[in-house]
Amino acid sequence: MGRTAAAAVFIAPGPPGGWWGTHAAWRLGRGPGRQLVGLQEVLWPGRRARMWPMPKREQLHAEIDALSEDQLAAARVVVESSQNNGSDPSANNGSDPSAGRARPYLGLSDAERAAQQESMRELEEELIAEGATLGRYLPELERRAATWPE
Amino acid sequence: MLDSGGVTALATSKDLLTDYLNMLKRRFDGSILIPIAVVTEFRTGDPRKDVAVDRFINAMRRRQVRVYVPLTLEIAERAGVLRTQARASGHPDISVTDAHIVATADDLANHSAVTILTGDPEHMKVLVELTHRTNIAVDVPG
Repeated sequence: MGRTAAAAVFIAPGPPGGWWGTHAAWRLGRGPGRQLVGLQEVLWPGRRARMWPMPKREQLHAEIDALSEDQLAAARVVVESSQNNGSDPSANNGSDPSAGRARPYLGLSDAERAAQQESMRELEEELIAEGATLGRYLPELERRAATWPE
Repeated sequence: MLDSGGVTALATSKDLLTDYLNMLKRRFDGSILIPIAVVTEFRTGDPRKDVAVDRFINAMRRRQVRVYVPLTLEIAERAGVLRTQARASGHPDISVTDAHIVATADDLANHSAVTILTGDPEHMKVLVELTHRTNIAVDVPG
């Protein structure tokens, strides 16, 4: 008796329509598990479910003449921003809250640059006086510096 | 512009630094700058390691000339955008500091050409390409 009951459990079928239908039916509102059809299938039987309504052809084309100046300006900003692709911090698709504002130059002024160059000359002379060898790396540096932007 | 690899290489090799200073003096009318975020990478607190870097930087700062480029909100935001784009393009190991350096170069490149001397040229090149700047170069110090 006990052996018969165990066998019955082993061969018991799954839900109506089989195991495969349950998950697919729950996700898509379709499939053999009719007891699990979704709202889509109930409201529009046989209609293919989709994620969002597709625009009609006429909705994809805007008549330029029908647009106001404000709409044209907004469209121009969007196009320029997408073409810019973030290369300009002042127009990188809203990631820069200071877009359009003038920002200070963070480099050195002409006077500061001249003063630093004077310091560099002094340091070079000090290094040579301390025994540094001039010219060991120079050919390679010259070759690579020729590719630097100016 | 120097990252930590550039700072360390120039500070620890007198011959290399001498040749760089000589070459810059003859070929370029520019300046040496260090993004402030880089300080975190080269400052150790160990005097034996810091002394060479300090001498180099203090020499640049004579006459009260600043050598550090401050990290502004705009640069930090730009760095975040660049780093996110780099990670999305298959470079998940781009560091925050690398992004700060390139964002700083991007800001400076509005006014002048920039060359980044770095010990990690591959990551820098990825970030520089994302800026679409043609006046930013990446080179190794030695």
